[in-house]
Amino acid sequence: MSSVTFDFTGSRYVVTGASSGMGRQVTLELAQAGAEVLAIGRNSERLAAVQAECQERIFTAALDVCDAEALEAAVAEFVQEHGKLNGGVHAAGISEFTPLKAHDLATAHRIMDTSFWAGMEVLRLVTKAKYGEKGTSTVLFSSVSAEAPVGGKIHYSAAKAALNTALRAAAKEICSRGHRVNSVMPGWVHTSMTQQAEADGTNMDLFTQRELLGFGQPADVSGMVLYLLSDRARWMTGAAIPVDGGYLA
Amino acid sequence: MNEQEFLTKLKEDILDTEQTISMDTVLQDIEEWDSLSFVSLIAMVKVATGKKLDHKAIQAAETVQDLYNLVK
Repeated sequence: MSSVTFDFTGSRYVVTGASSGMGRQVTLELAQAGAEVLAIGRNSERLAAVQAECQERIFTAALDVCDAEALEAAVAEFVQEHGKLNGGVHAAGISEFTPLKAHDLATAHRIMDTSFWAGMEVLRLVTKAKYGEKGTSTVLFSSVSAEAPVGGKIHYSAAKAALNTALRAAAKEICSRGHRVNSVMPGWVHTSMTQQAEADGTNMDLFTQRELLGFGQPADVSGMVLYLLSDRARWMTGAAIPVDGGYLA
Repeated sequence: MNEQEFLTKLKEDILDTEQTISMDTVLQDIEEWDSLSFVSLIAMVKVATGKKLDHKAIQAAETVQDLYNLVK
């Protein structure tokens, strides 16, 4: 039993990347805390498995977050059926090596499209008057790579850093209606994405040395996300928060 | 861009307001009409029509109709 509990009863959130990893964890915890959640992911089977954990409060839309029209249509439908959003979480992202020596522009663009451009679209939709209540909170998933990039992850690191810079400008644009936006920068967390990165040849020694508290689990990050979404964080905006087991120390 | 298209863009994108907006609406009566709206309007018109609006002309506009006169 955690020493902190959240109550999101009567609130509504959209979560991207909801079918796995940290997005899945945030989706489940929000629903368990009483929120209605629009869970977005590409894999309908995995989304259905997430929904099965809390049928009455998790609603799903299987789509590619880079498809802005499909994303907006899903949000519009959810809002029409359940009411305006109180916030959003952009956890969708892909992590692949794009070293200069094997430059793959298509992959580089896909990384930026998924992490950065889709994140901006989520923020735009959540803060739009017809989809969001006043005073929404959005959390974008950045990474410690934004602050401490590793070789070979040029575009992943750049995309995550872009989020952190963009949210500071966005915070200034959206504050007049009480909207907030922040990011979290997780360290090495055990998810299907990091398992793949490990299989792709990531130098794990580096992470082993820097993770002072060892590798994390999705639940080690979700608490900060729920806090940033909650009214306890009403004075927080434009910030990028490391949740990294000491990686950036 | 015709009047209706302009009104829709202005209301849903530039102002992002649920207030009723017509061509006669006085800009000072719109809560969301602020300095960010200025730059958003300039950017929107440039993309939609290729025209570059003059910031001073926008500042001088008093009604939505005045803005549309700059755009059309």
